Amino acid sequence: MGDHLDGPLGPWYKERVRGQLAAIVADAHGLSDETVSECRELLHDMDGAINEQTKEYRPALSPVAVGDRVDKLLHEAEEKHHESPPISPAIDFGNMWASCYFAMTGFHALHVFGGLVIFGIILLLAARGRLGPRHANMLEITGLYWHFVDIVWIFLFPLLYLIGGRYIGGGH
Amino acid sequence: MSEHIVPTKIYIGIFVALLLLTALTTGIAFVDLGAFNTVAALAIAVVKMLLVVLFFMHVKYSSGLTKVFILAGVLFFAILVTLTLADELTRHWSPTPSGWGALLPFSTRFY
Repeated sequence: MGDHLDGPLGPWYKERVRGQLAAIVADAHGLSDETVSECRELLHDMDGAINEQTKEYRPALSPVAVGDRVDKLLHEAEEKHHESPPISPAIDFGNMWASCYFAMTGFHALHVFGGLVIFGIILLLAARGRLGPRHANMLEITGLYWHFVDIVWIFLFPLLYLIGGRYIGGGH
Repeated sequence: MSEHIVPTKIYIGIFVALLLLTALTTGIAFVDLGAFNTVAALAIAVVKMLLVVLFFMHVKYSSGLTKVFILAGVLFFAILVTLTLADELTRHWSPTPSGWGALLPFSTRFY
């Protein structure tokens, strides 16, 4: 651990961990007081500071040192206290697959619902005998819209349910 | 709006073709083709998309101007996909503390 933190992304990594620790300090998320206080201490040590008594400057932790401290902290949280931090800098973008899945199927569902509303309007017009040649454009555009929704599903189905399944990427 | 009347037989034929292609793409997903699984699934999806666009959306019978507009839409969509992938494909560049991965089963999947 630590070697990859020497690169130019080290400071960015440090900022990600800082945000994570700040979140834990602000809300324990069920972690023990001991773990939370260690997080607070690490958060404090990340920045350089002047000791009040000795007037000596203590430099900020390097990204490598932060990585080692975080590793130790998490290892102890799991081994000694059986705690699992409910949030993590490793997934600070969330669960990418689940986010994409629900965003895509959700918006597709909204499009389908919108189409059903339009179909309902057309059905009402027809039931009242008011659907005529003047609705030709409306019907054609509604058809185009519905086929657009169709094409979205043509791609979503293999992307969400076939690719990444049994034989690609080891599945989930 | 185009005045071309498409025979019902063609619509039914395209519908059956779409059903068969759906069965085909599902069947292929159960055969181990390695990286080609993705290629096959997307290739079949593109064929189905073309069937829908050309026949159901009447593009086959539409003017060249309409086709140019559709190509412009496809091009713009490709730009958006490229920009999205520029984010997604570079995310693993950011380092991740190994300890977090041990605690959370999801955390290492995308890095």
